Amino acid sequence: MTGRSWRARLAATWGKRRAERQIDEELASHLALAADEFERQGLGREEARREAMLQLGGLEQTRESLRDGIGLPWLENFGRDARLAMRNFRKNPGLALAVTAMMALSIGATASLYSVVSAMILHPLNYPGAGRLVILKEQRSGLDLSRFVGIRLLRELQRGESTMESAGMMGRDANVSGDGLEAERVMCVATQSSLFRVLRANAQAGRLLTERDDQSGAERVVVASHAYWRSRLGGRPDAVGRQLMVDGLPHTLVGVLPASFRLAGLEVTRTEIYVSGLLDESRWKPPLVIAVAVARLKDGATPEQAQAEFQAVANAHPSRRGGASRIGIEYWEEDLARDARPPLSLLSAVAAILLLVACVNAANLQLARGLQRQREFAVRRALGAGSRRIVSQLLVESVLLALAGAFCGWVLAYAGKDLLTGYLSQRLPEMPPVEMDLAVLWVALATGVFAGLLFGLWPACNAVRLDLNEPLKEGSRSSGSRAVRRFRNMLVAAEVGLSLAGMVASGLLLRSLLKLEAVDGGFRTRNVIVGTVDLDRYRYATSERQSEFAAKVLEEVRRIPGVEAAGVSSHIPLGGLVWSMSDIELEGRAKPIPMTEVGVATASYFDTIGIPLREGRGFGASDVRGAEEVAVVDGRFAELYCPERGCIGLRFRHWSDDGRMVRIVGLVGEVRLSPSSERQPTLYRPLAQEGMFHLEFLARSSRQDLRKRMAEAARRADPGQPMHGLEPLEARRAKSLAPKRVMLALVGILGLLALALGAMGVASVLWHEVSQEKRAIGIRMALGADAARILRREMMRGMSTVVAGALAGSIWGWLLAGWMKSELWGIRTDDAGAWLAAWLTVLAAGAAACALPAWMGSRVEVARVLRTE
Amino acid sequence: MSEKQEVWQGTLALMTLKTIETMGPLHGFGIARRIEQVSGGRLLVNYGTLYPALQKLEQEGYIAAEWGFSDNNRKAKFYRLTKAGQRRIKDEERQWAAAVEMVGRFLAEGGSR
Repeated sequence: MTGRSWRARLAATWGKRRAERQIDEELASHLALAADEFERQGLGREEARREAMLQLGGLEQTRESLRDGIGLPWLENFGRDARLAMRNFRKNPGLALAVTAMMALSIGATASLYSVVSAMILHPLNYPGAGRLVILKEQRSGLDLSRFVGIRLLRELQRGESTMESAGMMGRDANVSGDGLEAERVMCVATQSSLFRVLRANAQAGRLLTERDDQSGAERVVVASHAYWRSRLGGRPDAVGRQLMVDGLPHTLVGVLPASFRLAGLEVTRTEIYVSGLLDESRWKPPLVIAVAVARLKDGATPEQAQAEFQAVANAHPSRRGGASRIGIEYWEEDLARDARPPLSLLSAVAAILLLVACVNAANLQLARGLQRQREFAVRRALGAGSRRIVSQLLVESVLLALAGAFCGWVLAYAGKDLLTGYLSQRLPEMPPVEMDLAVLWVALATGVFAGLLFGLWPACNAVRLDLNEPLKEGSRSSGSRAVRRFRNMLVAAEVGLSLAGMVASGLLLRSLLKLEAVDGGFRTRNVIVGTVDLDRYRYATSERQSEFAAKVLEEVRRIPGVEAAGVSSHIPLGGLVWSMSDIELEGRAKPIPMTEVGVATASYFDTIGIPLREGRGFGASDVRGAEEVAVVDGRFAELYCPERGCIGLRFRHWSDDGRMVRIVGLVGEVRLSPSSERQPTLYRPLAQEGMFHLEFLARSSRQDLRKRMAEAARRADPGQPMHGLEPLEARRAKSLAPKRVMLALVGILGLLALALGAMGVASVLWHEVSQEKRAIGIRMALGADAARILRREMMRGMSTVVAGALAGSIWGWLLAGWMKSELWGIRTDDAGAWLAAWLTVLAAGAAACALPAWMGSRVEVARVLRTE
Repeated sequence: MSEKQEVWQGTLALMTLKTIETMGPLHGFGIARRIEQVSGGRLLVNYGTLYPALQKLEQEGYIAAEWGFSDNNRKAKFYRLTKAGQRRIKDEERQWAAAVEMVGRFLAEGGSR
């Protein structure tokens, strides 16, 4: 059929009504013309009409046959082929089901897993015109603030004649209470009125922050997120205007954000509140306060122009010690996506492996199906079926299988996505809504369908070219030509290779995770429970009051039966990110030491968490305000800054501007803040001298659950200062590794699925070969080969494919390993353990897959096989 | 022998195309009448098969149709030949000639026996 008639008929199928009307009109015109003719011949009008009707030979039949001609006859053919195909499927359901299942599984798993994980890692911005938002990054001499900008610099940037508006924000926990609201830790974003203008957010109720709120001394106001308003204020419209105590200071709730507003860039929960006064420095203790700063580019402005503009301001305001900062500008969306890219690309690589393996497997099954039916094709051709008909019938079968696979895959993808999302959102409070990644779904569908079609057709084309005699001979083997067999083995080898690459990736991740878990952080986690109190900045303004509170809580905690030790620090390993750094001017050093972590602790802290005292003394009861200022440093600090004569006895000056000197009195062991972090030089100051709002209480006890009692202890000391985040240190450690674990689990699952499918491929090909060779095996056995020998031979045959595949896969694995380098920690990409494990797993799976068909071969009954000849 | 014959299977398409080629755009009734005239009244066109044949030729792109008016001002669907149709006529003529020659040779052989 020409393309043209195809179009014509398709169009006609669409406009069937119209076509039918035209048929009626044409027949009517024919009758009229014929009647005219008869009239000319002298018949009466009525008679002429009747005569014309008669001549047409039945108006209705003609009309019907014309109507039948409108549609597409190939649709009918398709129907016939489809019925035939269904009969075939029913006759041999295993293979059809296997192909469908394979495609569905690969499509479904790939699309759903990818969608869920990408939604978890990628957080696209949902602000109007988000593409024009940029994030500012500051780099000082010797210190990369990564995504942050110091607020002093931010103030200068905003004070200048900037052509674009920028906004800073900083998240922290605050104590929030109010009439009928129990005191509670709430994520509080300190920001500026410009934030909502930059992000183009509008209030759902009341108003958002205004420039007047930014001024110091203005009335303190707070804006609530929709979730906070709903869950804490009952979602009542009259909540606007309510008084809330935020860190002990009265604030007025002036507005509520819409539900669609989600703050990006800070690790915020959804129940957050917003207060103004980010730039009010009197609220912050260390001199370097940093904030996330975002800005909206003017129409037509480029990030380069914005950078130049900001840089000029930064150059005009160098910092006292470090000189001018360098300002970096980047599109916010790109910046957010960067962290997500390496894990996502690794995941897509492994998902692609699974998809490919499944496709190859489906292709292989299709080939096997085709080969099995060579005889059927030959018979049909011998009976006169055109090659076109055979190909078209196979095409229809392949299309049906592909459609079934695609449909099931589609369903599976959505079901899997919902299932996974449901499962995860019960465990992760911040699980974002997951949208199906349609691009991935389509790619998966297209690949699956294409592979199914291609390899469904190949045997058909083969059959058409085939020598008719060969398959018709009685008992001939139909495992196809040598080329086809070689090709099938190559496919299987490719599957094995791909699964090996997946196994290598999983193995490397596993080894990396084991390494991380084995890291000695320099402290103990066993039996240690931690709880956090963020003190009210208003009521606990001085270090005396802060340490008094801490002492009271510790006293209560120690009284709990079973508690062996208890201590406080501002700065514990596995804690949240606490930026508390200072330049240190150490005696005897010309240049100040840039940015050293400064922790605040009680003497009992080191004992509780098991950080050993190496030299000198720890903090004592006499280290109070007014006495000599003291500090202890950790091993890393001593190693870096006073390697020769030791640090003890040295004096230094840090962030306090009053010039107080602090003497180093002790040296303690060093800790890693998280398993994967570098060892940071750290110094500790006693709580009684330095003071701190953020306090982490630790208690060591062999008793199981102390959480309630610790919270109780804090409440007894001051009911307005709730202790939150109570959990065993072990749990925190586990949490810090959770992303790596999830990654490993996902990659591992995908890899194992790929391996399972690959093994199925190996088994099916060998099975097919063995079953085609029963006769040869029978003859060999009759000639004296024993079962063990046959078994060995068949195993060797299968395993040679497996080994060849694994060798090829090693190259892919190597490429993949290089690609996933950033996901690894503490091991090299050629880690012997991981590679060995991957090889062994693949070989074991391959051997298991070969075993059954090989065994089947060795069990051939000689007499039976030879008799059927 | 004036017994009327129906048009043979398979030749209707060729006759239709040829008719349109010689007569120019023509409606279905006209085509049928023309075939009957050319055959000297010996061929009888079955109108019930003519229209499906026209429909098929049109779908396959050998002819195209337009609505127009006949000499006596009747609205009718006029068929004209397309490029593909002209090619088809040539092909069919060649095949027909070959077939006739073959059958002729066959008959001649049979007659000489």
